[in-house]
Amino acid sequence: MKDNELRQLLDLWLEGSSTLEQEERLRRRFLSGKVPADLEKYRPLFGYIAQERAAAGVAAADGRMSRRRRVLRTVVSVTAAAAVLAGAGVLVFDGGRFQGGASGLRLTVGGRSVADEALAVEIVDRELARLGDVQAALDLSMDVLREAARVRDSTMSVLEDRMVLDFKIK
Amino acid sequence: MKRVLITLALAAVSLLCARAQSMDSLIEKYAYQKSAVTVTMPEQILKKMARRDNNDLLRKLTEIKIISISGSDGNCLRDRFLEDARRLTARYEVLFSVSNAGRWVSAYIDGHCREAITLSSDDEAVTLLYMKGDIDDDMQDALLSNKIRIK
Repeated sequence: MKDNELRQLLDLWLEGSSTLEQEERLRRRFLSGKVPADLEKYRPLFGYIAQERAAAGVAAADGRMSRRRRVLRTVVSVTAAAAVLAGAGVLVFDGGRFQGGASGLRLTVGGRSVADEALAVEIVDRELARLGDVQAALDLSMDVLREAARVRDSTMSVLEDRMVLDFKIK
Repeated sequence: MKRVLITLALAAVSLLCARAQSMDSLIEKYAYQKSAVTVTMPEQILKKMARRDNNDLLRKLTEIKIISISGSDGNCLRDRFLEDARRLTARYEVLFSVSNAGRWVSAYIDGHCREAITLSSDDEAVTLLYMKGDIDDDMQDALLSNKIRIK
């Protein structure tokens, strides 16, 4: 896939109007191939989706999930277009900026708005999971403290033995 | 009259400053940067997830917001964001702060236990996670022991 085609597909995907086959090509390209430097920022996005799919597990459900997402994107796109045309402001695009839908959900990736609730949930969960590092760091700190205490006890014991020995010699 | 106008002007400036330090204004500031990911998850969706998973912790939250700026240490945008994030968290009390092998996480809570913020940094990104709701003892424990999940 040439870079121009990649850009076109990415635009389609972000607008929610890409086909299943186009989504798959994009995903493969981002996860396995080189992409232009200015598109590197989108790579984590496809990483999230890949992990989400892996967690979902079943290959058979794959098509249904993507189809659901595609339908969701189509609905969002149509709603957005209708809102813009009618000036109703359900979704307001201002110079390519997405100001949020009726639900209040808002997701931006690499400066682009993405209308994908599942992806937003995935990102929030990933960030919450990263706090697990806190627990790991605390456990490590406790290990270090325990080790320090063990060394101190051992040193004290040696010193006491030495004092007893000195006393006996005297 | 002049005094009233000056007072009003000062109040307006204070309001602007306060706004400059809010999570919303940070999202506005960074959402359209190329290396940023921002999420605003409203109560409606959190409640939906809580009902689906029968998750009592999620029921306590009314809003989750995230800003993540990718970039290694020394990246200009990352540093600027970190500075802004620290300015924001300065208004909160520190719940805990730990670091390990170049990674660190700090958690903050407001005096009324209605808002909690975690600010974390590693060699890839700086992430600010904001939670609003009932940040009671259970929620603080969950935050510390990494039990809050949305999926």
